[in-house]
Amino acid sequence: MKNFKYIITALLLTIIVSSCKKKYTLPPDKGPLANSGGISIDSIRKKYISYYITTVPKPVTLFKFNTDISLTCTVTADENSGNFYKSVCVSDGTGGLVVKLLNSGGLYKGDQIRINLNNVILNDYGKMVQLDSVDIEKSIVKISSGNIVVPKKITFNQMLTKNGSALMNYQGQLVEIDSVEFSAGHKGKSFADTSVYKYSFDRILESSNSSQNVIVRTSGYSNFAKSKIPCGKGSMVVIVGQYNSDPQLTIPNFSDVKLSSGGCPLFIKSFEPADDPSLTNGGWSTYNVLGNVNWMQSSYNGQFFAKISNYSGGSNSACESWFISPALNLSTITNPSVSFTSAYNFTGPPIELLVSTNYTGGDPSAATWVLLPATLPSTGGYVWTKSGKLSLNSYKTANTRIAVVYYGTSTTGSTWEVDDIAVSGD
Amino acid sequence: MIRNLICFCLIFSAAISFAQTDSTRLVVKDTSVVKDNHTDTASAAFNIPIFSTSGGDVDADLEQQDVSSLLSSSRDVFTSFSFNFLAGRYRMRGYLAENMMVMINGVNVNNLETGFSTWSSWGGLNDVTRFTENRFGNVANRYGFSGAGGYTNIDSKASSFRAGTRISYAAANRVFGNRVTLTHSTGLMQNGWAFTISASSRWGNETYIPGTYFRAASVYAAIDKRLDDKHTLSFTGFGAPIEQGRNSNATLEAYELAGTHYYNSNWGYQDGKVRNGNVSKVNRPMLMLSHIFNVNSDSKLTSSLFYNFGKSKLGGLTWFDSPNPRPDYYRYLPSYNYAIGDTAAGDILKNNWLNDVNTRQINWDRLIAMNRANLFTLPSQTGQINTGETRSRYIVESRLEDLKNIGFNSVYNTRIDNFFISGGVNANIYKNRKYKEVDDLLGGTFWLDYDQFADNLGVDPIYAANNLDEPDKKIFQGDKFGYDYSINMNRAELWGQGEYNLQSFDMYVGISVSNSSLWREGFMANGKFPTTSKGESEKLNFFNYGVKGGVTYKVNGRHFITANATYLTRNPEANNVFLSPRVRNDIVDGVTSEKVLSGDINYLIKYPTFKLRATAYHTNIKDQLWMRTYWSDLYNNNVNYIMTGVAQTHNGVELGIEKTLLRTHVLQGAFGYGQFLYSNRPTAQSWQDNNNQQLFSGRTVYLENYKVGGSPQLVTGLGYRYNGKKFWSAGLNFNYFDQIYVDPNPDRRTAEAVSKHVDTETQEYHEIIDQERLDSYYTVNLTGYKSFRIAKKYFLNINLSINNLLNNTNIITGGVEQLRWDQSRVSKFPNRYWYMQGLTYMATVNFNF
Repeated sequence: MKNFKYIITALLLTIIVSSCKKKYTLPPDKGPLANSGGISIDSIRKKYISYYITTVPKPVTLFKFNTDISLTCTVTADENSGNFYKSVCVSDGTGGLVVKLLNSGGLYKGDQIRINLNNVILNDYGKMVQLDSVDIEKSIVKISSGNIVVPKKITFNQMLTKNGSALMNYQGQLVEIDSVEFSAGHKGKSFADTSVYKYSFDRILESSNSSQNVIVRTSGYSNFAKSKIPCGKGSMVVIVGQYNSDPQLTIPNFSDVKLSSGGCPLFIKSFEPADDPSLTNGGWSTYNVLGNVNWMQSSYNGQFFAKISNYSGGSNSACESWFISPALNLSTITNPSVSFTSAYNFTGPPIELLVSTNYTGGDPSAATWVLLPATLPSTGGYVWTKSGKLSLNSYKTANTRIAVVYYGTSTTGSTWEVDDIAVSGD
Repeated sequence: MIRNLICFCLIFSAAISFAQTDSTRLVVKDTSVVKDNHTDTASAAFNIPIFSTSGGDVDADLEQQDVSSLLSSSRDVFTSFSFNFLAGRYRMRGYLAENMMVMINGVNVNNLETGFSTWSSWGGLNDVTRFTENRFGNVANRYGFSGAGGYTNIDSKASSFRAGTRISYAAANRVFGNRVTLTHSTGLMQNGWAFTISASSRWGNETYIPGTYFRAASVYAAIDKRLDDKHTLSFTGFGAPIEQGRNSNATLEAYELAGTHYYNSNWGYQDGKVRNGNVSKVNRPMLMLSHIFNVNSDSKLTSSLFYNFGKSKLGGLTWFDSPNPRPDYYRYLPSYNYAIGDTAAGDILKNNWLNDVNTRQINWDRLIAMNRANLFTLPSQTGQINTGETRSRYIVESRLEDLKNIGFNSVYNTRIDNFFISGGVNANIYKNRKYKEVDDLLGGTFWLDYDQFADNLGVDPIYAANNLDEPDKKIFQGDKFGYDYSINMNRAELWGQGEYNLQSFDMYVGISVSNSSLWREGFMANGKFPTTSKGESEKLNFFNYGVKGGVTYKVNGRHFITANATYLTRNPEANNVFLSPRVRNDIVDGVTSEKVLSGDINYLIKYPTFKLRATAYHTNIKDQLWMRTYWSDLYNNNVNYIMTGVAQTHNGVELGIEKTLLRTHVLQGAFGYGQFLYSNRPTAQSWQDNNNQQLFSGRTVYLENYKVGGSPQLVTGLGYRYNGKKFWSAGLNFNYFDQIYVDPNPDRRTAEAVSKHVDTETQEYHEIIDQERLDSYYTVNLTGYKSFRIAKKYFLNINLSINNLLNNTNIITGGVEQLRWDQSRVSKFPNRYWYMQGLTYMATVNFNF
């Protein structure tokens, strides 16, 4: 026991040997980004026009900044909702711009940032001007966060205006538009694909002040992809964009969709398998007055619709194929109307939208049908066209039916696609 | 003289055990937590069984050094040789550690939750854990009811050590580089007291694998007090804090690009210093107080109270809304870019991998710079202009387990003529709280506790909140976040055993009944599961039982034939019982106890100069639960993949021979051949991890006859040792390993996995369903020993052990199939492998006085 003291001491020393903790120091800061003067978004946009549009002949190389010139701007739309991916929108009071990022994340709405444009590419995607492949680590510095972003309030028609170079005037800007609603066929549907494939969907937005419709495009990866489109009217905050000649809007945050919930269609035939699994679902029926050509449920790029064609095995066949709704009780509905969208390709007779109040089943030829003045696509190529709202005020009975009829001859016939047959009231 | 001889024998046996030894291992079972949801592997990385490791274990090297002492000190000829097989991840009979009962002073110390033994708790304390009683297989056990893998009892009482002091130093190039140990024992003194204390320190920096480090201290104190002839009180307490920077596995491509088979993706440079991103820290002390009551010369009652407590931490990088920081993430490898046709990007990456260490390794400086640049204002505070506070995009998190396990154990042994009766009761109250803490904000000001995989659930920001009570709380260093729950278990067991010895027959029977209740308690309400995450889950009750028996026919005094059988049921692993244990209380449907049936027949020969054991065994394990969480490319989501009713059979033979010639030449041979197979078609179900949505159920997994991965199924060893006359010896071993398989990813063995393939003879089809067999290999090991007697009373012993003497650095010891896989291109997520270290040594000097 006499050595006990020494042993204890030695024990402690033994332990001390291994008890020093690992510490790491932070590396020195990189220092600020180089800056040799500023440029506005408006000037950048002018550079784009002069380089890509005005220059003759068209340049074969992309425009790349080659000085340490800086754009100071505020992030107006970020990736938070998932509707933007590897991109944000910025604004500096002179305009808006899309910034495509090399990597996702790190920029948020309200961040005031400075982008050193050296080595950044200026180009477009479908006429949407953008700064491309920006590396947040190398080219962006945040000046502050938490800045309030106020969308610019403009009218629907202002939003649609374009400049002399066919670029939308408000391109890339966060704007608030009023008195808008989604098309009847899209009301109550999801904003984007709800399947595991997460396709982006185009939904149609309308305004009572304009005959033009615009596409609202939503990513299947956005957090509101599965949300139902509100049926009513109201305001929305969107980023204005375009895809070639078509205006195209993007919703940065679902909370900025301020549409009332009322006004959903009374009946809708959407053909989406999730809520409309078959052609005859909901009491719809088919009848071939002539020939043996059938309506079918089909899809393209994630959109589902009814499709018909009399071209088979290398030849056309004569047909008259009906697609008839169940009896609709419109007797108590104020201002009922029907609408749908359609598209076709190849020459042939047009489809017809008919209404009847005395059809009870079987051969439709036995009932009385009235043609409704639907707007059909003026050209082929499967361009989707809205029928417009067709009033059913004259047919307010408990047994009103509508039907879509396809005609083909032995020498000709189009392929028709029909979607979103909706009956609405006020 | 006699005393000296005994003394020498003691030291000698200890020294032998030192030769290849170190006892340090981490047993933190963490099957469900998959941090990086893109690169997890078929086996959990932190699951370390005894007798080498499962395929997914990166700590195999630590493990080898750990268990080898146990094995080499065994008196069984096969077992004692098999420490040579540990470097090849050999598991005897293919068993995981849950099949072997480990006891200290007769008290079972297997972890209640996982069934695994916690060797790390006494790592480094070799001096005081060297008296082990080790019996492998289906055997009689006088301390408790053990199963198919037998038992080990470590006698660590203060009075078991003779008076004296021992200092030892070891130098090695394995897990650690240096070890110092100091032990002092008073022996049992005249006044009835005995004290033993021991302390050890182990450390090393990049001793073999780049980026790794090891630091551990161990302390041990034991006191015995002999009250009178009948009563002794005994206290043993020890703790072994270990900190370790770990190594990784990798794909063949990464090994090739890095130019070394010891590529470790876990480290990188921070401000010019090597930093490891996967640091584990474990400190789980154990305290034990026993009362030994010698009722009479034939009866003994031993009652113990023990308390095992403390924390284990596993560090790792986590990130939000940012690119994956792992250097070997599949998209950062040239092959991915070549496969998608982007040759230019592939070439750039290849060049960077070859020439830029910050591409090959974690670029800490970059992560810190990104954090420092990320000024952030909470949406609710918009308008407060912020130019100073930054939100970390990358942090080092710690996954903690805080254990509290109180147990009582009482064993009664008595002899009545030819009967030896043992029996006992034991009870445990077990609580293991699991949560995450921020370890390092990496230059940022705070962290926000959001789930980045909640995006697709809906617009309500609450889905992303991991902590509903404080959803936008800024998390600082040391703060809890992510999840917080405990696994609780109460267990009580009653067992008995009778042994009956006759002239030419010995026989025994044993029985055990136990009852456990198991439940989860959540302490954090999760936004995705607001009603099922906080509070207590349903309490599951498991009634288990076991029976065993065996008979030995004594052909004569040297030849024995024995036959043994065990049947038992046991709890499923606690974490697997829950669909998503980190965040909710929901329980997997149809949870039931596992069933183990095992039998063996042995032929033994025991002459002083010749020993032989030949064994044939059969073991069948049924109704196992299997659960992993991983990123599914098909569902674009983290999924929990659960198999129920998993069965496997282990059939095989073992042969061990030892022959001593002319007293100085010892020849040893060991042969083990087994077939470790999955033996049925389990049923799989899968759940979206962040949603209460079942993705599928009732899916048949065609696992039948796939090999259980991890351990070689065929090993052969030949050894020769020369025992010199002046207390020295030298030995050489040749070891051969074969029948090594990569454990199958169950999802690739389903009808759904090959649904796109009409033709079953295509290469693509076989890539999905075939199991990889690894190459066979051999190693040569060398051992040496020399003892000096100084001044006729002190001893100096020197040991040397060299593994892989031929320095073969091309040996793949194990691999795993990644769970993440792509139906159209299996090679997108290739298997990951481990290489055996080349020549490694350990030299030990100890001095006894």
